Order: sequence, then C-alpha cells, then structure tokens
Amino acid sequence: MILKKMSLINFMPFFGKAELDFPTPDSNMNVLLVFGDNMRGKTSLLNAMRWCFYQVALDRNMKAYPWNSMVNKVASRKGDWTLSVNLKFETDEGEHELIRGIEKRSSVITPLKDSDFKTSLLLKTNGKPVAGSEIESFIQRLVPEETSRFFLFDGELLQEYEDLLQEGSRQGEAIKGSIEKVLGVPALTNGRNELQLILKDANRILRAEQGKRTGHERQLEKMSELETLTTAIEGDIEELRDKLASCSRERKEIETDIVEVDRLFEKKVELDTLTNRIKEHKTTIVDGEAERLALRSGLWRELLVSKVQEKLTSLHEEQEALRQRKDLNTGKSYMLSHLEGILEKDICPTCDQEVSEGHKSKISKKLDDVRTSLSEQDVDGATNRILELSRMIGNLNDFSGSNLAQRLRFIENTIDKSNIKIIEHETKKINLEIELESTDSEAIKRKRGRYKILLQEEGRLERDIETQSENLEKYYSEYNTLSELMNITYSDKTSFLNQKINITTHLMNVFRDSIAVLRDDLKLRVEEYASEAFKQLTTQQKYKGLQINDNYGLNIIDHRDEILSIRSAGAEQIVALSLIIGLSKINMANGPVVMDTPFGRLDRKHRSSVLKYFPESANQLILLVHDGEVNKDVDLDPIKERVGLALEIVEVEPDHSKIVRISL
Amino acid sequence: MKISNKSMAIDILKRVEGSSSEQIIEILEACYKIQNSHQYETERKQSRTEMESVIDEYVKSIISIEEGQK
Repeated sequence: MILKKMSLINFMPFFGKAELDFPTPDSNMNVLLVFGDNMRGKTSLLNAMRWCFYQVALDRNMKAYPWNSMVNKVASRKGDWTLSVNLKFETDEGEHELIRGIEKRSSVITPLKDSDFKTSLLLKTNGKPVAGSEIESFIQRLVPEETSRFFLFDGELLQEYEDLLQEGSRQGEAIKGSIEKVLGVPALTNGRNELQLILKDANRILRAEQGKRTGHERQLEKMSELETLTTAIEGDIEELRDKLASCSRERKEIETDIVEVDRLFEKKVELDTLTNRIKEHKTTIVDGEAERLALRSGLWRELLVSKVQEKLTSLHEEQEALRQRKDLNTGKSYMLSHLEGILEKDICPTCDQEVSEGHKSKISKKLDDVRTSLSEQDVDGATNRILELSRMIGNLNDFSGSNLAQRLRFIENTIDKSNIKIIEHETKKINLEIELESTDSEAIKRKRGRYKILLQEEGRLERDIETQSENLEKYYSEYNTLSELMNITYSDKTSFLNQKINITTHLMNVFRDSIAVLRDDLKLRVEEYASEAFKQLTTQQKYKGLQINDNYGLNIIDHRDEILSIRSAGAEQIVALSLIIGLSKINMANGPVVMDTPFGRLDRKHRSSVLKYFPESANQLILLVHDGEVNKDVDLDPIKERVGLALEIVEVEPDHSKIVRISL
Repeated sequence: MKISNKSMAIDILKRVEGSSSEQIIEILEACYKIQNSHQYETERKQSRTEMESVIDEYVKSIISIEEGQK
C-alpha cells in the first residue's frame, strides 16, 4: 500500500479542512516529517488514519475517544458537528479513496453519545464505488485492525514490548497475539479448529448411517458421548471468553477512572501545597506589617539624609586635606634629621666623602628653610582634627546608613506581592475544592476494590479457558481415534462420508502439526531480522545480537554470549524498534509506517542511527516528532536527503491547529 | 501492504503434509487462503462453509474417478 493524500475536516484540533500529501516511495525521498509541539495534534494525525480505517481513535490508555470529543471544538461551538477523514492510497488492485465521517443527527441538539451521530463510509476503487458490505472486509484484508500497532505506531507505548520478556504477562500475551496475527498463525489455528468442526459434523451424519447397522453400538455410544461433551465444552469456552471480554472491558474502564483518581490525588496534594503557601504569605504579611510599623518611627531621619550627606562630603574633604598635609610634614621631618646628620658627621652618606664647605653652607640654608616651614605647621593640632573628623564622620554614617526608605519600600513590595499571591492561590484553591468536592472518595475506594477483583477474575477465566481447551483437545483426540477406527471398520471406498472424514482428518492433522513448525520458523526469522536491525541501531558494538523467547520477547546477547540482565530505557526502545523492523521485514516490507514520538528515550547517537536506518525499513516513513526529540538544526543530517516533505503543526488559536509546509 | 505470511505458511503445510498428491496440496492451499481472507471472528461460519465445499468437491471428484475406473 502506498499512501497518497489525507484530508481531514474538523478532526480533533484541526478546524475546517486540513490536508497532507505523502511523499511517493518510488523516489529515494520516502520520508514525511511532521513537527509539532505537544498538544498541537501529532497523535491526532495518527488517530485520523486509525479512524479512517477502523472508525476508532484511541487515547494513551488505548481507550476509544467518545465521538463528540473528536469533533473540533471551534467547529462544534459554531454548531458544526461534522467530522470526516479522506484517505487516498494505492495497492496492487489500483487507486483507492476511503472516506469515513460522522454527522450529528438532525433530531439531536448537542450530541452526548456516539449514537447521537450518524456515520458514513465510502470506498472508491479506480473511481468506482465499492459495495458498502464489502468495505470493512477489504480494510480487514488490507490492514487488519489487530495488527495496526505495527504500522500505526505510538512511540509512547514502546515500553509495552518489555512485557514480552515476562512470562505470563497479560499485556505480553496480547502483543504476542497481535504478532502472531501479523505473521499469519491464526489462519492455521482457525483452519485446524474449523476442520475439526467439519469432521465432527461428518461423523455425526455417518454415525446416523452406522446406527442402522449392529455390532458397534458401544463405540457409537462413546462417540455420541464425546460429541455431547465437546459441544458442551465448546459452549463453556465461548461463555468463558464472553465473560473474559466483559471483564477486560470493565477493567479497562475502571483503569481510566483510576488514572483520573490519581490525577485528582495530585490535585489534592496541590491543594495542600496551596494552603501552606497561603499560610506562609500571611505570615510574611504579618511580619512585614510589624517591621513597617517599627521602621516608621525613625522615618523622620530620612528628611535629613541629603543634608547629612553634604556635611559628610565636606568632612571627608577636610579630613583628606589634613591627611595630605600630615604626610608632607612627615617627609620634611625625615629630611631635617637627614641633613642634620650630614652636618654633624661631615661625611656624605651617599659617596662616603667629606662634605665641602660650599655644600655645608647650602645644607645649612636648606635646613633653615625646612625648620621654618615645619614651625609654621601645627602638627599636633592637625592630628587632633583628623581624629575629631573621624568621630564626626562615624556618627553621621550611623545616622544616614540605616536606608530606612529602601527597607520600607522592600517590605511594602513584599506585602503587596504576598497579597497578590494569596488572591491567586485562593482562586486556584476554590477551583480545586469545587473539583474535589464532586469526587466521591468512597466510590474511588470501591472502584479500586472492583479493579483488583476484576484482575483476579480475568486471571481465573484465562486459566479456565486454558484448562477447558486442553480438555477439548483431549476429547477430540479420543473422538478422532474412534472415528478412524469406525471408518476402517466400515471401509467403503465409494462412501462419500468416509472419504470426506478421511480427507478432513488428514487436512486437520496437517494444519495442527504445521502450527508449531510455522511458529518456530517465524521466531527464527524474526530473531534474525531483528538482530540485524539491532546491530545497525545500537551504538554498543560489543553486543552480538538478540535472542527470541516463546513470547517473541527479545533478549540482548552480550560479547560473552550471555543475556544482558539489566537494560536501560534507551536499550529497551532500541530492542522494541528492532522487533518492529523484524516484523516489518517479514510481512510489511511494502507498506507505510507511521511513527508518533518514536525517539523519546533515545540519546543523540541512537537517534542518529535510527534516523539513518528507518527510511530503509519501510516504503514510506511518516515521522511525527517534536523539537525536544529531533532538533531540526542538529539531528536531521542522516535523513535530510530522504525527506520528501517536511510539515509543521502550528497553533492558530486554542483548539485550532493547522498544517504548514516548512523547509529544512 | 499485505499483512500475511501466506507463502511461508503454505510452504510449511506442504512440507508437513509431505504427500506427493498434487490435489491434496491444492486443497491445503485453498483451505489456507480461505482462512487467510476471513480473519474476522464473525466470518468463521462463512470460512467453514467455503472449506467444506472445497473438501466436498474434492471427494466428489475422487468418487467419480473411482466409479469411472470401475
């Protein structure tokens, strides 16, 4: 199958019409990249395709969205309750156009449930409409719903595949079932079961014929008993399966409710946090008010601050001038004692020569000048003044350094902010309280209890089905032995029934024996392809490959040929992707693969390996990614030349997204 | 996208059957194809009817050959 174009009308966040073309696989550019932030509509594009094929859109808990929630909110607010998806694609049979839509019934004002909508489904093949009754079986043949997880692929659910490694895991069993459907095993098991029923019918008719004869009444009676028994067991199994399905349905519904309960519990925690914050803000206000009151008593000082500053400046200037003068005097005193020393010793301290009379006279003159200038200075008075100035400056600094106004402004701001926060928190708190008020905690307890009971019930039903199936197998085997014996006894080459029983028994045995052979062969092939993919995708070159178990779970084999016991989240994702590729290579090599958020847990090197390898593994690859997992500027080098088209989902307004083309 | 493993399953049926009878192989193949094209649970009765009619046709042909030989 090759996807050509998809058009949406009012589908989830896409108001009105939105279209996207798919790159054709005949060129080398078979990748469509769709970027979009969270909540813009990436998963909705995956769901649009799912809706078009299967009339269902699923949330992350695999629960179907109610139809009224799928119609775009902007459209529904305007009274437009129509939604449709149109998908054009090509297969070996030609060009197809599949259109699925819903529309509010005219008798309904606001649709509340799915039945308030009427549905429409149209398929055109090579321009000609296909009969309505054949459309669903065409889809089932082309893309069976049970196997859709392997081509409509939600990266957020990759961790499900880890369950394949756990024996007895219910989720693992479900995935195993899907894998076997992809691989074609059910066709053999259904064939075996139906051949058994054909055989049983033929035997019943034959026995009626044989009843007319005598000598084998005991065998005939036993066969009749076995027929009654197997029919009863088949009925029991059918009933158990119905009960199991109903149990699973109820459990899944409660599961969603429990998720809601967890969400409400988080809200309760948020409510408690808000209450504490409000309390803290109130304390801040009370403390602030008290400090503000205390500070106000000294606020008169603020009026003198500028005058004090002026005085401080002049005092500092005077102090500085005195200090400079004092430093100068110290230098002169040193010179005085130096010159006096020369005259006293008559020796020059620099050249150690006797001082001449001429020089002595010059030195005496200099000494007189220095003495005169020193006697004019009141050195002690200057020192005392400097000390006095320091004291005055200290006092004034104490006076002006309080920054009362600044502190008051800060306190008032804090009080204002706290008041605003209290109003914000109170509003949030009221909303949360209203939301929590409507929650019935007793009902929640009951639901949790019911959930546990249902889980146990499912386990019990599954075991019962298994036991009954084993019994059925045993009784059928006994029945078939008797049947063969009777046929030999009444060997009649021209008897139609005998011939039919012979050939049906033979065919049934071939189908039965082939199931195990097919399973083993398929596992080997999946292991081989997945290992090949894994070696390309992993950045740890020492790993030897993957080893498959009975559930199709894949273990990593390390360089010592041992199973790797601890795997990182990224390794789990790589293994899951390898399994998907392995399955694709066996069955879906010619199909498209749509992947939503597939790189969530991968580091950059693994992302690069996956981006490089994936375009080779499908004929069309549609990647729905956000900037956080693939950086347009850094990560796209390995895939750039394979990208046929790049799009981005952008928000026009809340509840309204549109798709725009971008260049890389 | 053909999600089936048709050729592999048919090969296995032939291998397990191991018969030289071309007709039996044809019937096996026909039965498998019927099952493969009716995968819905609701189609079980239809697939059974189709398989039974293939078997009936085959049995009729054998009987007519045998009667012809007499």
